Amino acid sequence: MTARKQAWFTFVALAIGLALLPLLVEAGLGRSWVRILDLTLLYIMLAVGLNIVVGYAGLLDLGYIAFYAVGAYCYALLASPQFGLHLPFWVLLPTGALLAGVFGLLLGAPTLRLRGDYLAIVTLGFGEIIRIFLNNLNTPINITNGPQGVNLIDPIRIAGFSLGKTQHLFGVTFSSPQLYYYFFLVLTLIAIFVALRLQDSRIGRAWAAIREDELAAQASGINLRNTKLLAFAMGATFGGLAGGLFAGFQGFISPESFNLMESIMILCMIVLGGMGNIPGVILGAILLTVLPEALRYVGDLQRAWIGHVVVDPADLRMLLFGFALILMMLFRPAGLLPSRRHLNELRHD
Amino acid sequence: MDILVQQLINGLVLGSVYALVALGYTMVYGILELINFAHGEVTMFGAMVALAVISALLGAGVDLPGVVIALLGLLTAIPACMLLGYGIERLAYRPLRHAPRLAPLITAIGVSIVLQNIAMLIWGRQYISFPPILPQGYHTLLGARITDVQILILVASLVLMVALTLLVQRTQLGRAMRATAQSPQLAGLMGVDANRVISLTFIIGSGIAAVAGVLVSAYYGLAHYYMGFLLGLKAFSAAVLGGVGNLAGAMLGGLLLGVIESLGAGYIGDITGGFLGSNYQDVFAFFVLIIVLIVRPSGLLGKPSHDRA
Amino acid sequence: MTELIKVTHVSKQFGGICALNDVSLTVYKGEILGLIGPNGAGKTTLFNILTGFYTATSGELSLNDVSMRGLLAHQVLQRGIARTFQNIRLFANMSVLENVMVGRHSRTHTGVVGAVLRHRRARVEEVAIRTRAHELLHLVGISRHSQTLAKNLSYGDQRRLEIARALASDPQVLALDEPAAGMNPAERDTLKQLIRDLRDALGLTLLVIEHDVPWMMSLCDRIAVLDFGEKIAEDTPANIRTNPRVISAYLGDGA
Repeated sequence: MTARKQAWFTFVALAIGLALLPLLVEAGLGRSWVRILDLTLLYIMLAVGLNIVVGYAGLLDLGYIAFYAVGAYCYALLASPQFGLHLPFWVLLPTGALLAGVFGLLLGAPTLRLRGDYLAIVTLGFGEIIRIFLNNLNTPINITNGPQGVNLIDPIRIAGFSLGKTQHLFGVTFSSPQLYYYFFLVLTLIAIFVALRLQDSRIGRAWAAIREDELAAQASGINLRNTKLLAFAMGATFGGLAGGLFAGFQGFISPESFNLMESIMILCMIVLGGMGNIPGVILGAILLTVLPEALRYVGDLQRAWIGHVVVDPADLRMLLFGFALILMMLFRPAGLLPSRRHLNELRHD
Repeated sequence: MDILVQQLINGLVLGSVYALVALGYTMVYGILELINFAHGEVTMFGAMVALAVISALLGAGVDLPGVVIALLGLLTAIPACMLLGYGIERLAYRPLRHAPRLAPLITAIGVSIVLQNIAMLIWGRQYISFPPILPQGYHTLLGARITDVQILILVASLVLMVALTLLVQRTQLGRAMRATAQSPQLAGLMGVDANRVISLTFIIGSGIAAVAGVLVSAYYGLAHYYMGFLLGLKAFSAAVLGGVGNLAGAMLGGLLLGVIESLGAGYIGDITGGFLGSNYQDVFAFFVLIIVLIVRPSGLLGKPSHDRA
Repeated sequence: MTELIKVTHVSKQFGGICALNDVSLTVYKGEILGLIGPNGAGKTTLFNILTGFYTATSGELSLNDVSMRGLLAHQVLQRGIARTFQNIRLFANMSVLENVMVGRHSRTHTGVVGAVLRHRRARVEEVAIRTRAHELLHLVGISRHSQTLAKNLSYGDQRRLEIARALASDPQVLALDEPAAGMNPAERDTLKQLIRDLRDALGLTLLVIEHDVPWMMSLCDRIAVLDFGEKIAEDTPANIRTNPRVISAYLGDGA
């Protein structure tokens, strides 16, 4: 019973902590850090989604950001002056997520029956293609507005309550980033919940089986193609959802937000944290969103010591990610928080 | 000017560069079944190193013919890339040879990112132009124009391809490479040092990539830290088109992809009624890749793979 | 006796090499049929064709008079033929229990919605999977290891686990590819008893490939002999022992 009490205590403490976090951060570090918190939540959602594909099913998807782009553009084009459409968010988010899922199916269907490394290269190419199209679909008919991107995207508005401006609730003033924080937090928790439930289910076991040994999985009655497609489409759906949220949150998107490096960064979060293990993935997402911000201080340090910036910290970011991928694979392939499937099992019996 | 012939010439020239890069992918894949994602970056390094040497020589006011200066650049780039390729295999791939398949793929991505960013730190984000030291003349052929640089690229590629084919078919090393590709364990039992063969494969592939990098930057007159990415992606598509693991396939695939891309870019406007323009040139490789994977995953010259258990 | 599996004139070619040549074979319900023959005789190839991992170049296969040609491995399992592998293929980083639970995949239905919502039907099914998996682990005698990772099991126990995983799909036929390989004589005896128990308790039909001929003679009801891709005999152990073709092709070299 004490263990249970302790669990409750942790839960309540965590809930209060998460609820107070944006208030404390805004007071202590400033509003820009609340925005970083919001982005962190989006990245957690993305990492949890990509983890279904890479961590659960063992399929290397290097173009994951393309699904994020699909969701974001779906939202942006249907809720901005671009076409003069202003659909409500509860139509936009599911549409974007669904559309991304469909793209996932279309891309996965021809490639998933091939060896995993082909999938890696095809998804890599797909990510680039989506960007090329987004960049160029402004002539002769202006669909995406090209490299300029889409501006003045509607903020997320829930039953007339806009998250895009400061609101007063229960005598407390909430800034827009804080409002987004709470909304994103709820959705992120749902995403985590869904991912955890999936992992510990018949479907999750089938994914793990495919990851471990495809032939044995087939011999155990698992339809390889459908099961892989499911993982791929699920991951894409998560990406599309996060993309829609991103568009509403930022108010502006352009193809540059969806380049290969973003895909690599999300992959990095999973690898760093621990492939297949949700707490690890969350840790990875937090580390990799917050660390680059901390890298800015490297620039300040250079200015203080050398007098000018020799190495732009933004340039260091990707270099460090690359090294992280290599070193993690060489020395700690299970990540910082490795998954412990067998311990999970103990809990049940 | 005959546009069709012109596009064919341009396509063949570009394609021969793709073929050179594709050879590196296919050699490594043939032996290790690994997509060496960093191969495009090795190509980029070749171009960058050569350009650095060339501009250093020009800056120092060395009084040599342009071709000799370019050659000196190339001759520095080749060993530099060979060393790079050797190092990549030793440090990033060899320790993971028996790890789960995902692991070396992820390191390969990591290496690729690292090389890109190192190049960016060294040479900056801007485009580096290839100084006009090579002959700038052109000839007329069947109503189309072919430049001296284009001829140079075609000849150099051809020589390299022939040399590589002879190496693989006629020499002891080539036999060892083919044996290792068939079965590393068996080759090992027959006294082939698999590690040495793999190292040499990376070294040879990287040397060829260096040449390809220099050629492509001479062709476009530009080099850039990011140029390896798309070049690599296209070359890999070329390797798949020809049949991964098959040298002749890589050459054929490269040339074919170059032509498809060139003709595609030239005519896509007409085909789509002006909806899509030549700025979509870069998507052709990808569509070729997808179509090959659907229709004939073993590629044009590859043997259809057996079902296995 | 009822005919369960019928293999008629099946051939399999790899490139130019003929791995199986015009093999016909009948498996009767409830029997233990042994498949013996020298290395490279085509035993595993026949297994792979029967279980959907290879497609026969020519010939016909049927289970209960329904054709199985062109079925994929997971569809074959669905129809009721389960298998183990010569070189043990387990889900190494999953627990022993989970391995067996995966084996139940083809007989269960929970999809994404059920997995996420855990509604009543999904919960009931999950409990049933778990219960059945525990039963099977008990049956093959490794229930004390249920939480161990599969890769940490001893060799013999890994073979048992593979059998339990195959059984989880409620098969009619269980095809075992060298189940006794790497076992000591005592383990082999236990395995023999286990195979007989499976037949008697679950009403299974068994197909067994094994090199240990005396062991096979004492286990099997009937034995088929393959040599260079052709079936040279199909008979009771006693008759196989005296079959001149078998003796010259196989038993002749001191086995």
